[in-house]
Amino acid sequence: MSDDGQAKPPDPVEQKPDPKPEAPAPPASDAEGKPAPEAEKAEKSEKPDKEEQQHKARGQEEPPDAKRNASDPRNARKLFQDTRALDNAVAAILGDRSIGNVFLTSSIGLVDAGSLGQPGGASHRAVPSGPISTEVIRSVTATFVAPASYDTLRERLRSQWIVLLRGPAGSGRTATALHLLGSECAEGVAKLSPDTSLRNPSGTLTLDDDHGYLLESLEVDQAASLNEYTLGLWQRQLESSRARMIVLVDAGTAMREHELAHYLVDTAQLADGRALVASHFQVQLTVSGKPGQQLDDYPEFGELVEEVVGVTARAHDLADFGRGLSQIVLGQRDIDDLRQSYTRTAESGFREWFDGLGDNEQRAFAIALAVFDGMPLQVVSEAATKLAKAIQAAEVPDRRARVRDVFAVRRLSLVERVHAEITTSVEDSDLGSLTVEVVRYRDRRRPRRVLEHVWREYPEAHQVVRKWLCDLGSSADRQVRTRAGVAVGLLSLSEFDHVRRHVLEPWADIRHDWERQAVIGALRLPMMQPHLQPLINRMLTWWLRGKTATGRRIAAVAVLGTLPIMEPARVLKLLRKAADTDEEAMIIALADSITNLSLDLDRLGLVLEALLSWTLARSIRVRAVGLNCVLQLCTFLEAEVEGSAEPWPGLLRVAEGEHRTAVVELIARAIEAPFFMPETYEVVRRWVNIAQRDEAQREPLGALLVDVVRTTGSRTSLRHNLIRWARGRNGPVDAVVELIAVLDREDHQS
Amino acid sequence: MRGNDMSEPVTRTFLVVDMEKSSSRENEELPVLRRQLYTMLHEGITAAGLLGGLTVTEDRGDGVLVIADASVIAVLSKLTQKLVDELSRYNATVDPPAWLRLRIAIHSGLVHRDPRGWSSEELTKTFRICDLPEAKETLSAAHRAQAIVIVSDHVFGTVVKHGYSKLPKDSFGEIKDGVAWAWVPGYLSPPVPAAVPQAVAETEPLSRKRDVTNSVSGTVTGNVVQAGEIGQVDARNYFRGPR
Repeated sequence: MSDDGQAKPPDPVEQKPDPKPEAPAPPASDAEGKPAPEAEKAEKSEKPDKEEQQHKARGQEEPPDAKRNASDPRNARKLFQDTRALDNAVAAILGDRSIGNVFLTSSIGLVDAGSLGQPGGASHRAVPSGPISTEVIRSVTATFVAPASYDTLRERLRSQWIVLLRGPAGSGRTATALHLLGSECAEGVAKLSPDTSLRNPSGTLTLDDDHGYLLESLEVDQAASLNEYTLGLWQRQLESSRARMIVLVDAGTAMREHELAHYLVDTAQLADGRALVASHFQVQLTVSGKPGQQLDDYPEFGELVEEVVGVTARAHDLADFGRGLSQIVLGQRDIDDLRQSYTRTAESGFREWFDGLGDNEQRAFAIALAVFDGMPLQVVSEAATKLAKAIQAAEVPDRRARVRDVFAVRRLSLVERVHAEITTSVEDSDLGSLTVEVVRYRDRRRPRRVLEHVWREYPEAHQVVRKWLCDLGSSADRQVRTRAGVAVGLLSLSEFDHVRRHVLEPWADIRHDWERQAVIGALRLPMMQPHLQPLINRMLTWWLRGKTATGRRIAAVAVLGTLPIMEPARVLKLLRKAADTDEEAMIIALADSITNLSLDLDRLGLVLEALLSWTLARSIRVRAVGLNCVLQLCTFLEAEVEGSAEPWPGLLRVAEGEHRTAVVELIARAIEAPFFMPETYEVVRRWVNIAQRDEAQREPLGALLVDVVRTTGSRTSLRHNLIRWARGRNGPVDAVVELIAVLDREDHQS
Repeated sequence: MRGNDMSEPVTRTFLVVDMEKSSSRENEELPVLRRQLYTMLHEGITAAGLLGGLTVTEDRGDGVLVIADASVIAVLSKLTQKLVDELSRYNATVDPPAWLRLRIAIHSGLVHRDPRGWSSEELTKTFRICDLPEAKETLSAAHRAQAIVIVSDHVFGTVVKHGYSKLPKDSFGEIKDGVAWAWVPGYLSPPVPAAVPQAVAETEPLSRKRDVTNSVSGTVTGNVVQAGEIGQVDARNYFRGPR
């Protein structure tokens, strides 16, 4: 699992971590883009010699080369592994052990990695900014249970076009809003960027006919200043655009109650917890091939359901519980396991268990297992030992007074003591899949519970645990650094700004791929929280300021492509600004972001449109970055097509659809650009070799190449290369013969 | 149902539900869809508070007739809305090509009952507006809709346009001049196709009786119901004359 041998080389200009991590970090630059003093200081503090040593210690000597990275299909696997590691980490910490069932929303995937869903998670995906897929709306609709205020909400939305839906977090507000917008606005629903301002309706948003818009969080200062006049303007704007909008507001948010009463609809804590459980139970069984099953058909669940509904306040948890019950029916889980996760007796039992752990070794192992649940015992043990030492160091500052008995701790007894189990799992290694022994809590919800318990009950331990996680974020092991990142993200839910200053920004400032991955992991859970989304957006905007490719800027670019935190159009606009660079590390981050964005078919059109613009930009640097992205898309993407023996090159498949013109134009530009010509021809050669193995691809490839040469106006180079490749040893003769026949046909016709 | 003195006409609200493109469904598929449809209708009738003998339903094979001893408002705002909600829920669990989509027609008026069933001109009219080519075309054009709700001009003029019970009056659009209005839930106005195809335009007017004579409950005589599409599946309704 280590990346020692294959990780990307370090970024050439490294930046030291924030020298004063305790100080609050203001924006990195002022409004004109001038670097702020701290950012300047951070940039000046670069010490190449020291950083060089640091990276040599990581076994990386070669400087990064964006073009080489983009033209090597093996690097696609790395992107896939990053995403997979993130999904696994999120699933583990949230207690989902069914993560193997990746929810496919796209037929386009990464070379050598299979298809991916939307980047950033499977079942734990946050609702992304921008258009919301019909699958998401359908999944909400299938299980929706209307709150008491639903009819009022619907009437208000129909008559007023904009409604403020106020309720406590966890009451199912987002599901209610999505369901209603989905049913009232059949042409589509979009989530607005979290930092959308309601102060002025004119100009900033493009509103489409019969579309619904969700603003998932209204910041406190915006809510306080919102008045009837402004909402009236919004109402008129939405009416003239024939669109509707729901704005979610936290319960308890100070607003001008009387003035806005007309637009406000309050939703209760939870509509009907039992109905919600029953709905998820039934739908889960239906999609698992057991339709028509009702919760009432299983009286043995009755007592447990009553108890859980009585003590569980969050809709999301009840939905999970309903799905858990369905897993019992499907034979995938037993009832005791579920009871252990949800009941009040289990909660008090949990507290007794944790408080009863005998010593720091046991507590450290429990915390380490919470972070690395389901990972090899060796990984958990090593991390636990580091934490135990750190705890001991905090308790006994005098190094000479510390004593550790190396043979005092027996791993298997530790496993038993923390109510864990050893099982086997298939791990993804650099050489392929292999079966390994892993350790995990018997109660799948325990990882999260342990971390939250430690954070809530033991403030003295915060610094130790935070530092320990911070160090793990620099691990060479992809899974370890990602898990550490996600754990930091979980802890940041209660103190985001503190974690930002003490962990996220120091990680980003290291300006290395490994810590950047930890940053992405750390933002994964916070970005699912509506109230944190505007803060994260603002943080990323700060990080992106300036012109130097600082660690924060590169990290922000990586985050934008991986986590659906902003609307795609806005993301592309920000990436375009960052693309005015000749820093190799930044160019790689940009190409990776563009690749990740293009994996979502709903966003692909926007991505191609952006690249068409970049590759014609006035700035030669932007053009080069654009062409590098095109090269990477040509190299990294592939698509499974029914009836084909081999996966298709992704862009070849895309060219068969509505985006053909864009694909043709982009390939033509890359093949014409002197600096990218050899690599682009190398891409074509790979495609021809694939077509040699899969006859079904020859005709489409020929048609695409005809369109490309028609655009470039030069046929001779392609012909020459095709013949050269065919004449090589084991050359793709059959494919080349057919492709040349297609080109000849075109010549003849013209 | 109350007021069933067979000799006297009574005022009722009629709701006709018809599955879109039911003839293209497989035989195995139809019982499942019919079961779903009845479940949804039951939910709707419950939500409208019309249990306890306030409604009678007549099976139409690929549709259902509901005669309700209730106001149009109750049927339109409660029953229909719940029906559409339940339809959305069902369709969320199947792929779009397998969606169940409904034409729901609502009208009211006098109706007689005889030993063979219910009949009246107003009831016939409900079937006719449900079967309007314009209604079919509109639903066909609304790819993402679950249903189209069609009301007679009379219902629109007396109920909908006044906005009773917060009905979304602005979302209704006239699909046939002086005959019927439609609302496609999810759309701010019905996506009526720009040009009705010639074949559709030439369809005979509603006022003209067609050779198709059908019965709600099996009778083959009388001007009870005229509905070209209804009954294609249910053998009991294969009593039609030549088209």
